[in-house]
Amino acid sequence: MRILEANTIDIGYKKVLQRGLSFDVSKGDILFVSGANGTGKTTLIKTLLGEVSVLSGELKVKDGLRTQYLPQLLQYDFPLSLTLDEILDIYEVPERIKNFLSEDQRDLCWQDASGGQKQKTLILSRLSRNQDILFLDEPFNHVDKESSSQLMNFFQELIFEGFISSLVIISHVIPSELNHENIKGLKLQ
Amino acid sequence: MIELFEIFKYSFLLCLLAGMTIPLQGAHLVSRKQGLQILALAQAGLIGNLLGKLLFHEVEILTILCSLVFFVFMKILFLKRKSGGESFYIVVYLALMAIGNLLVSIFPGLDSHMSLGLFGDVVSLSAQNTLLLSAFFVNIFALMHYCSKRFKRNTLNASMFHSSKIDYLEELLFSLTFVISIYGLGVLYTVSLYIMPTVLGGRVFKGLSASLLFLSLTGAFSSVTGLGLSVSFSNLSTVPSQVVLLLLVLSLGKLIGKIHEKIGSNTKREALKCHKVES
Repeated sequence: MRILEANTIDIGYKKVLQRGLSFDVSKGDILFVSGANGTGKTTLIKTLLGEVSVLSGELKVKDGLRTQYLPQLLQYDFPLSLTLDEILDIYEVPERIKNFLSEDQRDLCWQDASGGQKQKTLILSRLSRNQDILFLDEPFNHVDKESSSQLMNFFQELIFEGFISSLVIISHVIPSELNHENIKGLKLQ
Repeated sequence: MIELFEIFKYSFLLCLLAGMTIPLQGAHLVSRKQGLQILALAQAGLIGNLLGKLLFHEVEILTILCSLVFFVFMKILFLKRKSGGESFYIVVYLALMAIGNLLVSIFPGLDSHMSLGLFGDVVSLSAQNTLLLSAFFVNIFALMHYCSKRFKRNTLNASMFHSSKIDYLEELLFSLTFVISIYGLGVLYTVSLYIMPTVLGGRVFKGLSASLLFLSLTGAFSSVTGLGLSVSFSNLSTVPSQVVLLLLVLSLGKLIGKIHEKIGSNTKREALKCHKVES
C-alpha cells in the first residue's frame, strides 16, 4: 500500500534545489535520504510535510495522511531537572508505548541520559497516536555506533508493532543494519 | 515590632504570592533560553512605566497600560526578529537604559519613579494597590497551575523541538505578570526572581515537579523573609535583602544537593563493589 509517491518532482524555494526526484514510500518502508550539506534534504522533508510547495511534478499522498517530524537533536543543556518519564507524561504517551524504555531508563534525568536514550524518548514523545510516516532529521547524531544499531532495531520494532507505518530518515550515517529488505535509499547530489 | 508587621501584613501577602508565582514562569522562560530577553524586556517595561508617568501622571491604570503596550511592542519586535543572536538583547538593554536615563535628564520629575521602578518598594504601595496586586498574583498562580501541562509542553517544544509556535494565552499571561511585577515590585526583584531560581536551583531536586516546587518555595521564602528582615532592621533595604537571601538559599540548596548526590554515588559504588566481591 503506497503512503506517498513522488513522480519527477522539483523542490526548492525560489531557486530549484533538486530536479526530477522520483520515489515512493509504502507501509513498512524506511527511506534513508542522504546527501551533502545544501542539497535540499530538509527542504525535501518540508515539501513532503506540505510546508513547502512542490515546484513541479506530482506528489501523491494517502488520504488523511498522519505525519510527525522530529528535528535534529542538538546538544541542549536543559536547566531544570527533568526525567525521561516526565517528558513522556507531558506528551501523554500511552503506557504501552512508554514501555519501549525500561523503568530504570525512564527514571534517568535528561542530563544523565545517553544520546540514544534521549533520541528514543523524543521519538516516543511523537507517538501519542499512530502515525503513517515519522520524519527524522539526523537521528544518529551524538549517538555511538552500538546505540545507532539499537536505534535501527527500535525503529523496526515500532513499525512491526504498528505504531508507525513508515519512516523517512535524513542521515549522514547509514547504520550497518541496512540489509533489511524494506530499507530504501535516496541520495541527493 | 508586632505593630509594624501588622501594618505591612498585605505586603507580606503580596511578597508570598509574587515569590511563589514568578519563579515558575521564569523556569519556563529560562528553559527556552530567554534569560537575556527577560533583561531587555524588563528595561522595556520600566521605560513604558516612565512614559506612562510622564503622559498620564498619577492615573495608575493608564501607566500600567502604557507599560504593557511598550512591553508588547518590544516583545513583538523580538518575535519577528530573524538574526542577531543572544547579544541582540544586550544591545536593546543598553539602548533602553540610555533612553531611560535620557528621559530622566530631560524630565527630572521622573527621577524618583526611575529609582522606584528599578529597586521597587513593596512597603510604599497603598493597601488597596497591594491587595489588588495580591489578587492578581493569586489568579496568575491558579492559571499557571491549571495550564501547567500545556506550558510544560510549550517549553519542551521550544527548547527541544525548536518550535516557534506562539501560544497567545501564555504570552498574555507572562506579559501581564511581568509588567505588573515591574510596576509593583521593581526591575531588580522581578528579573532576579525570573532568572536566579532556575539557573541556581533548577537541578537541586530530581524531577520537574519537585524542581518547580523547590523554586516556588525558595522564591516565596526569600521574598517574605527579606521583607521581614527589612521591617525588623530599618537600615536594610527590602528588595536587595530579598535578592541576597534568595541567592543564599539557592546556593545552600545547591550545596546540599551536591553533597546528597555525592553520598548517593558513593553508596552506589560501594554496592557495586560488594556485588562484585559476592559474585
